[in-house]
Amino acid sequence: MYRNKQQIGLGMASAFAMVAHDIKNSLGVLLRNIGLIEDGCQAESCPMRDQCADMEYEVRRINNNLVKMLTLYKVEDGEYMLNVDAHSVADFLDEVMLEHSVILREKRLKYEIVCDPDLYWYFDRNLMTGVIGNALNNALRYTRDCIRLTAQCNDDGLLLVVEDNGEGFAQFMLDQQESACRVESGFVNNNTGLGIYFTQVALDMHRHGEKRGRVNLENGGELGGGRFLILLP
Amino acid sequence: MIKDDLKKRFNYLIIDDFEQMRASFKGMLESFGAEQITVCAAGETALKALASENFDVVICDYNLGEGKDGQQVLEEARYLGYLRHASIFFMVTAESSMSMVLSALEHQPDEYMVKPINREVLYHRLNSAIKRKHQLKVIDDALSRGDLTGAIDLCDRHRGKDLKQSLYLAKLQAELQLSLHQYGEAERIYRSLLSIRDFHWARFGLGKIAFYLQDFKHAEIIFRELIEENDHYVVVYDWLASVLESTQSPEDAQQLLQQAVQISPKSVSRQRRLGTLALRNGQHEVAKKALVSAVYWGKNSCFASAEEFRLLGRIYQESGEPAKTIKLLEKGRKRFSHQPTDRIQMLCGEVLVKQAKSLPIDNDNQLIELKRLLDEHRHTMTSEALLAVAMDCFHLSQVGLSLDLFGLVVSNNHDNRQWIERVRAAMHELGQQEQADELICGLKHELDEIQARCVGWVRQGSLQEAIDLLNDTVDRFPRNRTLVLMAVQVMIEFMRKRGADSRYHFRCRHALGVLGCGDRQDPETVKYLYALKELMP
Repeated sequence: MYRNKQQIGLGMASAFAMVAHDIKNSLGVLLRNIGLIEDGCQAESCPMRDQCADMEYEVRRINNNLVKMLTLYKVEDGEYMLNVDAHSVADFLDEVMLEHSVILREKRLKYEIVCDPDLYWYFDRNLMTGVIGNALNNALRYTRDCIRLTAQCNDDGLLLVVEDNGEGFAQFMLDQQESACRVESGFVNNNTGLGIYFTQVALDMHRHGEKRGRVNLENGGELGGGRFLILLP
Repeated sequence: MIKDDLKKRFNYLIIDDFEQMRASFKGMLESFGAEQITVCAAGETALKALASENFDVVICDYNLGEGKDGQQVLEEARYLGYLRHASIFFMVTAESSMSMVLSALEHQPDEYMVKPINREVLYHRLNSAIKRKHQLKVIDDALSRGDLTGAIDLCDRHRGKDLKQSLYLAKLQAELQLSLHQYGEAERIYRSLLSIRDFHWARFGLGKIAFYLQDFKHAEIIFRELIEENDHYVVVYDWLASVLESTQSPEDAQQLLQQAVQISPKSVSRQRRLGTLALRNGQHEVAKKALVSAVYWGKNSCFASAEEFRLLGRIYQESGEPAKTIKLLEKGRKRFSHQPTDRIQMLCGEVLVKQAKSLPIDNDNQLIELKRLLDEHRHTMTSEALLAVAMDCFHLSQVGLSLDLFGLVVSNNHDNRQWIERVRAAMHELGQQEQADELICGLKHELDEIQARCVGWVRQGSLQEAIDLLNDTVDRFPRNRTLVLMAVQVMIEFMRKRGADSRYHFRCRHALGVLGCGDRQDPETVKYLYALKELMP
């Protein structure tokens, strides 16, 4: 039979929705002002440029955390409405990068997207925007000057890789990733751990037949820094 | 920064209750070179703007505070024809998961955008949406013309290597086929899509097909599974409630709708439906609450109807609140003065109250007016309205008139068990058992016989005889769906064999028009209208 929602449960969900709406409006206003300040910087060497990038980074971080929190709450409550549609992967990755355009521009970061323009995949765009946004946030923080997004499909699904040329993930993170993935372990004690957990939850919602998604952290690759690997079934 | 001639020529509408956000979107659009930008703070004012001007792009926040939400603005604008097919509608939301996953394409915006949005992303989305609209223009044109069959063909032909577009077209095609009762074709599409991914809307589609084919058990299983997976799929509640009503479980249907309005309280039609059902189930408190909500949310809505005013008036009256009743019905009569059926129903309510309060003065005048209106309009009234008015007339001691109206409901639905039983129940409630049996038996027998005779003639190929008898009968009962559709079908067949005939052509269109009034999207009507267009463009 139907789960009869307690009055408190419903109240909580709508309170969350209202708060989210308000915070997101504030973030939108901040983003606009950051854009206007950036426009006002005439000189190449204007010190405000760097600060714009820092501010935009923080806005994105607040947003990522908000998305993580709201999504996990909804998934746990059985309320998240998965909206799987077909998407151009290249278009999707372009847009994720565009969300971070001020940082990329002002920090003078090089980035490339390696993806076949005719590659399409089935996924919940907003959920995966959160997932890639989270990985990208990490890369933006630790990279020296270069970020690469790669997408290619194999027998298990679509492999998305976010990599940078920074120092790479700390050894303890690499060691802990297994337990952070396991929903039942509840072993999440830092933000990167929460990011991995969130990613795994999002991938589990995309389960396709027997195929399941997986998230992996590793170091190395061509750029030599951290690599965030996401396998989407 | 970014300039583009195309976007410069566009007419934009921004709807957001938050001043800073309106300024933010406006600023972004201006930076693309946009010159014509209108901003609105509320859904109500936005609908007025939409009514008076053509917009190429609408950017609408979902959450608009007190009044209508973005979804209501979209649905009303589409329903009222304020949005051209070529217009682009962006729905801006704070959270990713919206209850819209399962709704029909016509109730979906072209794009959802999740906040916060910067100008680069807005520009990117705008460009993709313009490109897609352009690619789908021929299909939009066909839909604007009402050429559903043509649109279905085009959906087939436009599927290419763009998987996103192909999926959209497959979904659109299945929905169009569903509306034309082409269940087999729609089912094939849904099944093939389900082999790609577990699309909930495809399973939902299969449930609808099962419902239409009256396989209620199967439909119920599908709908219950969907709700089990996510109890916020409100539209599924509506369908499951229909299944439960069809399988004689009105109490369960009511309970389900109660849950649905709790999740999403702003839908006028769902509140009305709950109120009607609860009233029939004898749950007056539930009915009252729902109908009050329906009147409230219908205040500025094109989906409001006189029904909620009338029913709520009845409840007020029965609970001894005559002043409230009169006030409500007067308000309703003004609001729906252009619709005869509504005027009739309100008038009934008012006269009933006045009779109860023994205020006979303008009673007589109002009674005469009521009879005149009924004389003129009873043949085009819906069964729901007729049944209600028949009950009211009985209470007003107009027994003869009441029986005539009950009879009309039976004649309009001679082959529909649900309706026959409702007439029987209503008459029993009034202590008219014997009259009910006699009335129902007689009328049903007469019409069953006419139908059987016509079927026989059609089988033998004597189309002319069938047409004559059917048309005579349709003249008497223009709301008898079965006979009207049969008459139209036979006339079309006749014209296909013997060539178009302007008299029959007109008759068909007229009959379908009466049948379809109040229901713009009746799929069968659309199908026949299309066949008629082919015969005589």
